[in-house]
Amino acid sequence: MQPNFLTDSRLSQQPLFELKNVTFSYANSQNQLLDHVSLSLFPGETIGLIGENGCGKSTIIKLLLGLCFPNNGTLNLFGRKVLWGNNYPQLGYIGDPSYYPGELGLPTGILVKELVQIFKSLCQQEKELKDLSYLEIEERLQIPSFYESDVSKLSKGQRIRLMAFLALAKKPQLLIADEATEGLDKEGKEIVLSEVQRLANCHQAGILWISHRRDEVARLTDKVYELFQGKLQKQELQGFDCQIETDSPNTEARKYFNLSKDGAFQALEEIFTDSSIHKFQMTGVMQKGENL
Amino acid sequence: MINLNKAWVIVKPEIIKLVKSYHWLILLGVGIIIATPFGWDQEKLTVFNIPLEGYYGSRETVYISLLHELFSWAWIYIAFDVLFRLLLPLGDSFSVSQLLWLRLTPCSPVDIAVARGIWVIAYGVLLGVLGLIWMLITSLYYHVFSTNLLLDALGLVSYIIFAGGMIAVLDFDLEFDYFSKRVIAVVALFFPSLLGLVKLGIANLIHGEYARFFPYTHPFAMLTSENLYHFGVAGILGLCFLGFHIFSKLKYQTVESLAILDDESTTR
Repeated sequence: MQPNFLTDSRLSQQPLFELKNVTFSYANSQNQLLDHVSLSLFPGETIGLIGENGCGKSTIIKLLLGLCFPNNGTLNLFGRKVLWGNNYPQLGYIGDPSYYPGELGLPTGILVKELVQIFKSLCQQEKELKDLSYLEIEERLQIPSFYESDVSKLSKGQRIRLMAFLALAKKPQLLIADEATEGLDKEGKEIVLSEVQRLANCHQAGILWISHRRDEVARLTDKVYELFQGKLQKQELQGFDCQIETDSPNTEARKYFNLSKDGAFQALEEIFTDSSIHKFQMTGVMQKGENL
Repeated sequence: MINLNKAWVIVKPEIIKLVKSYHWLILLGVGIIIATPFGWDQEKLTVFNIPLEGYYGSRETVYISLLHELFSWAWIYIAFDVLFRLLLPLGDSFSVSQLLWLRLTPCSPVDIAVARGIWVIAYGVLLGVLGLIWMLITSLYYHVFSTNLLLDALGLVSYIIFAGGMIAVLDFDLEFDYFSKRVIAVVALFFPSLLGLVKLGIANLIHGEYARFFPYTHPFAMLTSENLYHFGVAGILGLCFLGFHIFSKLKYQTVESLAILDDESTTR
């Protein structure tokens, strides 16, 4: 879907979305939810957004979906002003917009298989999406297991799986997810997270991941912002000097300096896949340039 | 640009539901059965050989009045059925639930509007065809035929297209909540008939020549050529509403990717 009349370097300079000095408060509230918030996301970037309940995280999503409009400031999606009337096939969304009570992000009065069929038929009419294989992701998310169910009767976990399918199967340029693993069991959560990681790694998609779960945000994103009292604050990702001791006779205690969160995951993966380890201890000290 | 293929993909499940529903066949069958036990004893209309009061005139006139009356009762039933099967779902089609996911698929706002138009017209045409079949069967059964009876079928089609078009042209967008949409759908159900009353009220204000172009359509209307205009104009107005709804979506677009964002950044 990438254009060939824009060079890659020019393209990467264009944000997928951009909030500039956006202020927002709901009509019936005096509380300013967003106070001169600026945020942009470029292709290949992954941003995590954390914050307390009701701090306005989901409002940013509503603004991006065109469900609300900023009181001040500018908001662009794919370089254009966001309008509810526009369609955005390159945008994937997982979450619950909760615009009016009872309104969800999926239609009612339709079977899952009908919905999936409409989605596939619409995608297959696009040259760029014609050859996409949906089977693998459909199987991984176990969509066929509830094909015959009415969409309105799905459990929250099934609904999230379906939304994840609709959002990820078309390989969007931008994915926005709002508490996208809520209601999912452990297996479902792992599937959704790994599919999102795959999208980010293989298709250079931009991802805005909103969650109150810091572990998810840390796993999926490169930059983390916290929304607090209407202001967006960038969270510096810290490095730790770590030492890992195991009971394995084959390995000695390992020391890592300025270990990033990716490195920590990697180190843990090594432990969890080494059958000779039955016990381990990990200690970390915030990096200050001194060796352990 | 309108892509009819995509509009068809969007509306197909609704059309399949409409066509595959046995409900209409049952309604047609019941309608035919109800229309058959009548007879003519050289002077009066009878049902199971019991004379029926209130029908006067020649045999043909009486039978035409009877068929018109039966059709009008069916029309009232159908109108309420249309409320639940078309008008309320059509209003809901503007809701966040129904629209959000579709906005994120490779189709355009115009395709979605065209799908709504096809939905309303298909509904009207299907019921009009069923009405015609009923007219044909019952007319043949009683050996009477009057082109005026076709007016009823036209009226029903106009009724559905006018009410559906009204909802489409109001374009609920995000302004109306679930309850408001339902109220508007109910208003749309009665509006084509209420216009008949409005016409009576303002009959003296409209110049005679133009009065016949006042749109309304309702059951039990006289089978006169004047009503042909009223019904016809109502149907055309409904089509105009649908056309306007589609036209109004041309100002929106499908934002495909970063490629189309600004003319300055392109090096075409």
